[in-house]
Amino acid sequence: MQQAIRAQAVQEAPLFEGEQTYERITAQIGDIPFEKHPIGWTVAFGLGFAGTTLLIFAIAVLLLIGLGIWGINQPVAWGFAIINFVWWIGIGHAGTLISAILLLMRQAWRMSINRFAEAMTIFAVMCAGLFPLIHTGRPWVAYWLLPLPNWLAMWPQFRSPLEWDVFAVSTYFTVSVLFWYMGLIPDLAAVRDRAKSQLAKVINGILSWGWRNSAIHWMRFESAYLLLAGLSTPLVLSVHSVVSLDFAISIVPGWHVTIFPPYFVAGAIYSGFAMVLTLVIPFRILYPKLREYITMHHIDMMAKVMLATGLIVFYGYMMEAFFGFYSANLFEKYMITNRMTGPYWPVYWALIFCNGIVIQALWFPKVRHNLFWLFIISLIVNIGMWLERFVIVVTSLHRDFTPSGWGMYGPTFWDWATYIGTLGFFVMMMFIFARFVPMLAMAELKDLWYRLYGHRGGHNGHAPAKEPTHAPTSGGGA
Amino acid sequence: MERERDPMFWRSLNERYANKRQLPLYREQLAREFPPEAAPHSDLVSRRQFLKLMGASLAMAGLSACGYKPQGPVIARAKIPEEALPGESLYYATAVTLSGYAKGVLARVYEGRPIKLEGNELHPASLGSTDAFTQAEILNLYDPDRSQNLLKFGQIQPWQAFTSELMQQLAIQQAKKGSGVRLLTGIITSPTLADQIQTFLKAYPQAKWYQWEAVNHDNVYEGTRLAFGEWLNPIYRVRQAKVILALDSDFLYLGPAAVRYAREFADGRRVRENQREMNRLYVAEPMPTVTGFSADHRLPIHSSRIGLLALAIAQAVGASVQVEAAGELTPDERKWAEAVARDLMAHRGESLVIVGEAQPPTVHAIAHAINATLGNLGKTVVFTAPPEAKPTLCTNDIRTLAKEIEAGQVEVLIMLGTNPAYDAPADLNFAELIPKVPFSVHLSRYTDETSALCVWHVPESHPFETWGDARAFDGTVSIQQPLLYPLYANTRSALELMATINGQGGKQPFELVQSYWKGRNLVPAAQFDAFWRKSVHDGIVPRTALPIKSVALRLQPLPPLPEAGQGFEIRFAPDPTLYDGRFANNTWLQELPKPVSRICWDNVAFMSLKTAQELGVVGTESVALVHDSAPLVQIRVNGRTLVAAAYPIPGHVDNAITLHLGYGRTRAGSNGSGTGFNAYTLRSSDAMWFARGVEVVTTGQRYTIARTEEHHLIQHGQLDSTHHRPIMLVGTLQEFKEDPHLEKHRHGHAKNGELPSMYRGFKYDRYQNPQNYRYAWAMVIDPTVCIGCGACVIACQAENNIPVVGKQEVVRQREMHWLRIDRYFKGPVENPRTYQLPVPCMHCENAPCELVCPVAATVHSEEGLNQMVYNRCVGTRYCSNNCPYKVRRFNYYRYTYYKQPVLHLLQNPDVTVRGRGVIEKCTYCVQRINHARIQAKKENRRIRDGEIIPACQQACPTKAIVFGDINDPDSEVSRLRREPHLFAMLEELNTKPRTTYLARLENPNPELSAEAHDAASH
Amino acid sequence: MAHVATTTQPYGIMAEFDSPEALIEAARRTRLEGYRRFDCYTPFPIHGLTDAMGVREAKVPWTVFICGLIGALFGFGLQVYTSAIDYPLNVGGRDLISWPYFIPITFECMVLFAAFGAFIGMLAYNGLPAPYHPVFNVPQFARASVDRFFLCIESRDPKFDPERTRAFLQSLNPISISEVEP
Repeated sequence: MQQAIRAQAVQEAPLFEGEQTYERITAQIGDIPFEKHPIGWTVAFGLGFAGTTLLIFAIAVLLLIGLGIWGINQPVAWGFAIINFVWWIGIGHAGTLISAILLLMRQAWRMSINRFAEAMTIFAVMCAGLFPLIHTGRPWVAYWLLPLPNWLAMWPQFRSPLEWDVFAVSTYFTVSVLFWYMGLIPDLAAVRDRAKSQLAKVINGILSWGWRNSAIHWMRFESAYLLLAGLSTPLVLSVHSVVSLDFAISIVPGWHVTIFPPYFVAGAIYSGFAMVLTLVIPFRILYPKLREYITMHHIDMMAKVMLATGLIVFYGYMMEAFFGFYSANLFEKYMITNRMTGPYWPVYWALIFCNGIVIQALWFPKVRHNLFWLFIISLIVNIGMWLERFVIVVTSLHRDFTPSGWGMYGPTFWDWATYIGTLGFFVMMMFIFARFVPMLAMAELKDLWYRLYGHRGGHNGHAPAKEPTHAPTSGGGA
Repeated sequence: MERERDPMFWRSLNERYANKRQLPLYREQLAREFPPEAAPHSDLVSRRQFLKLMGASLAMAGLSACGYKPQGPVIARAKIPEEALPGESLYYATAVTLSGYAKGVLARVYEGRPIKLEGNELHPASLGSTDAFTQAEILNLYDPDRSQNLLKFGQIQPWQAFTSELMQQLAIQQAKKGSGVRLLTGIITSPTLADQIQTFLKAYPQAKWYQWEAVNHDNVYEGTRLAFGEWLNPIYRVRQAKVILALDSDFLYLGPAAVRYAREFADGRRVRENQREMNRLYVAEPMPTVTGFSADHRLPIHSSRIGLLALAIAQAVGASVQVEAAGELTPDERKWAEAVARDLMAHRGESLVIVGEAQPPTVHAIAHAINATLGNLGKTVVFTAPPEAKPTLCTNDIRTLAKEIEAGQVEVLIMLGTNPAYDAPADLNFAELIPKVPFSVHLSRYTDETSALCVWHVPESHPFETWGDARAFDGTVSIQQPLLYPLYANTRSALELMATINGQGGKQPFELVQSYWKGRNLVPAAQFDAFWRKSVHDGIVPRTALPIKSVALRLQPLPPLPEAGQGFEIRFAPDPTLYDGRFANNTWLQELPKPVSRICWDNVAFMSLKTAQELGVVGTESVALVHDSAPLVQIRVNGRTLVAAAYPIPGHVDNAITLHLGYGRTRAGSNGSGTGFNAYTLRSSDAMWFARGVEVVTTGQRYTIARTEEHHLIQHGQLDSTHHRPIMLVGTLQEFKEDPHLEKHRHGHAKNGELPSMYRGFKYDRYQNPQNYRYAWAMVIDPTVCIGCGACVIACQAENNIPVVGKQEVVRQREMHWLRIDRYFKGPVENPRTYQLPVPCMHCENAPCELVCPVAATVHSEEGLNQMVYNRCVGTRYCSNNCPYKVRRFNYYRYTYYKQPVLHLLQNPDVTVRGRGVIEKCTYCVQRINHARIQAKKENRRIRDGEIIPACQQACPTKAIVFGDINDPDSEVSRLRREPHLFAMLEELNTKPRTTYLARLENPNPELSAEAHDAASH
Repeated sequence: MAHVATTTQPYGIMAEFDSPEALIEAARRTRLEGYRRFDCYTPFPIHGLTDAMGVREAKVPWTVFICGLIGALFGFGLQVYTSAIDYPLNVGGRDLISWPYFIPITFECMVLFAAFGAFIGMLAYNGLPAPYHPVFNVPQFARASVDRFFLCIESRDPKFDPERTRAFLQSLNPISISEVEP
């Protein structure tokens, strides 16, 4: 019975479009690096490159002159840098979620988007990691945060959440890279075997460590892959929890909130999926082939995850407001009132609109299947999540305990330049990735295809060993 | 910068000086290019220009690089061994003068360069404390903009050229008995200088000597003349007064004796568990002042109606005063006057009425009558002869001089120090007059507005560079001894210049001063050396205080009181930090948030909120006080106009504006020029302090103001800048008597000190054996006596090498002061209660800042100091975010004075100069703690209580700050921490601050205390 | 060819199949036949294949577990040592060993070490990187990463005999059979 339903579901929401063979899958994806690239690629890369140049310039000026070029002040000693840091880190989370958590949850639809999302994660974390570094007053000694007895034989101060960040973010980055690269090894091997030019053969040969598709290797590969997924899952939760503790550990009203960890994680996944959609939709246009593997079903699923996490985040906002008023704490109460009615009220309400109101549209399948509107919504969500961080960082700081110390914050040109710069860098990296690396996990797709339609895929068309009764997963057997 | 924002303002001034464009002064233009401390942080470009011009400042370095050994046998303060040990400072007693009157100071001289001024407890005007002006004087000494060269029409000339030309001119005058010679000086109390001038006047009998001070006390003298028939110098015994009435007088802050009065006022006000008496202060004034903020009852009233108030009180106390007065008091004012009168009468002989210098002589006379009637004469107020060398009425002097120049009678004009081209009454057009004088000489420390108009400019030495003497408010003479060799070769003091004119050019200033005092025969010649040594050493010459005159009231017929019409009124007042403008180039004073208004780098036209709204200056109330940019209004006073920024301030009287003097200077130097608006352009000799019939119209332009405190909550006419927060513990004396703990006001405050914690925490207990006795430093501040004068802020700045950041950065809320004075309003917008609270680092035992620093750059010492390790700081600024008191400061740029080598001489060698990108904050003056620790170790003893005095405590005129060791149960700070009305700011956060406060108590008159009460019990 | 075969021992003999099912079946029979040293090559992991080959091991999971343990201990130890033993400082009045603050970093170190364990372990046990391997000498083998499924019985196997092994593989009706040059 259950099998029937599942099989039906598979028919209705196909994970593949059109007839596939292992050959076709490999050719479609594996050949992209060798093909001529659409003009759109050049344009996007150009924009990204321009942004990167701006970023480098902004950082150079910052190092030469000092943090004063930013809008930060006392009391608002954290501004765009931290906002962007949290924003980027959050975006990163979708990748890990797709590759790790969905893998453990045996979601078949993750297969075709995980490689892409993981790449996004890595570049997003790069952008994120940049900010804490340059936002320090003396970046040239930022290495003092590493656990080395470096100055006056001193060690880092491990009670500080910022120190936790150092460990959490660097671990997160390392593990994400390992995870991504490991999944890439067999596909690089495939590219190596198809490469016409000697150079490509050699490079891919080296990068794939001489992978030879041995069954026993596959076995170890799979158990390692599954274990990495198992490790990444708590990791990804911990990372944004730690990021949220950057605020929650403090005593600043509006930061000192117990629900921060879960609600930050939800927010992270939320913004992450928004970013995946923001990227996938144009990529499907740029590379029509991808539509065969990233189908409306995938898009629909991502939209659903967005809706779910979005609702959690919205619940978080309501809880914050509730705590504020219910706490009977003078400062908390004022903080939330100030958010809603203070000088930054437009930001707060814009945030509610973006993250609370707009996503309600995703309840409707019509919207979830309309790429245009989905794209717009994903953009709005990205903005909304950025605004959320602005509200948390700025409106909490600018009026805390002692009114005599209150002030206002406004970004400067250099704040914007740095932010836009990282956006450029991110886009540039994504397109470099698309240019040189198989964008989708071919091996996993073939596996998926075999599990779903193996009987049709097999050449000597006899029925496959087993029906795709359970939701297939590459890790299932290990 | 701000200049562009207000073209009109600048156009007018350029026009004003258009004809003087042919006097290009190199540093003047250089200054325009880049205000040294101020602008460079504003953007890239100006920094680039900066580098181009580094050469210029390096040149200054060369000049300042000579030896700093003072000339003449100076005598070191005995509290430190006389021979200078490397690394040890010497303290020299000397005096700082402000419009002629001396305040005694001890200058800390480190390896030949003075770096800090501290009060001289032996000096009557100091009593060991100082005011903000005195603290900042040290920066004047090292001001890179000081004039260094002898100039003729702006061209550098040798001394020879000047003296020969001068002598030649004087030779011509000799023939006419000097009838064409005029001497213009500031008020002079210096006996030696006066002696030189008298010598000169003997040689030129027809020559005349005039004195001019923009902020003068003509009215005080005239008042005494009306009351007693002669010019007298009133001295108040504030300590003896139980009830004090100040009529338009800022006696706690301004004036030669302000520091002393503030101390005496505080002494009569400190409340302890076993000391439950408190004096009561009534203040009637148009614009809130330091004194007004300290009042138990304050009445906002036009200056022109103060007379009516005084008269009403006089009649109520039964003083027989006949004077014709137009106008009526409002019922409220009358009620107030009667209540005050009753209170005064209840304290005969121990009450005091003080009238400000702005009030016409009649009002002074009325006040004297009241004091006489109340039997205060000889008790709370005594009189001496004027301490000045030649008492005079400045306004008459300058008026006469102007007339004479007009009439072409003045051929040689020698000006010592004053700056009439800038601050003379506008109706005299002095700036036009000076060029009319064929031979004009101007001696001044800057090539200022007057120098630019004179034939000759002579650079003046700073008093710390030469010998001199000056009298205090009570006549006590201080010998000023030089603290270092003149920084610049060509500077001369007024005394030297006069000596040169008198043909005594050969004599050293030291000889001049000493020989003068030898000549006074105060002691037998044999004892003179000992006498001299003691005088110079102590900083005061014994037995020079003027004798108290016993006076009897002999009221002259009084001129009528000023027309107290209902028109719009303007009030001129000396600026709280720039005084009459002489401190315009002093960046410390420029950036010191002004007492009362908390504005820096500008003066503004203050007005009440109601008036501001009527003028359309501000919209809704809440907006009114949050905005950073103030609208520009055009002020028209009988024909003269000025465009100034309008700024509403609570407690200001309606239909009036108050303008502070001293701003809008064009040749103050690179920092002072172009700040604020020149109130002198509206001030005429017939209305020196206030005028009626003012028109104010908005221009539609706006002007950015730098303020350090901005936000206020106004709800239906009630102002509460604490936002109902339990920041301060406030109560009345009555409530204190009922319950010294003031429980009913301890809203948010945790009632029991210990709050639960997850951690065992650290114990700071002492060990008995002296070897490893452990100290626990703490500070207690008593806001009841704090008058918010800001002396502590400047003292802290001077002691701790705190940089100035400039207006732009203050606007961006990046001021660096380690110690700020919070100001909170409560009560009706028209006349709220005000509470002030000095806020240094709290040195919390559970410091939130330390916890969040990822590199342990801020940690706790075992003595409980919250230490900031600059060279470990990477600048995440999380500590600042997590500091509930917001006392941490961050170096967003490289703010330190590295661009002006001469300013390197100013730096305190005991305190690290912070670089870019690190956090800094109050250290409890740890360098002083360690200095004392070393002393104690050397003598193998414990540090004594009171041995360590942080800069703020030292400067504080009211001794509101006490620092010490709480592990010693007998230390003063321990005793204060046992007081029942002690509280810690934001106690409920369980930060366990080491800096705690006593409740702010006030002593309202039950008759009037309605609003005082509801203000106290928020 | 024969003498070549006698002079140089080949790496093994490789059979090519066109579907996973066929390969699994072949692997099962190869094992029944008594061969032990043989391996399969597939474009994607095929479940049940290793069972059919009779290979099972759990080296990687154990490695990851040990590494994780070491990581956690390292993380916590580092914090205790630095903040309580090597350079004790009074930070905000908190205890020297304020363990609740040490949890996050302990956890992160655990994950980091374990992740490296998984990655490096996998490569190490697989003997990667392998710059050269004989199987690549078989021309068709390029399709092992595309759509073909190979089974290679290695000459190291005691039961290996060029003729009989080839015959046996023939009996599994593969698409092709080829000898793998060493």
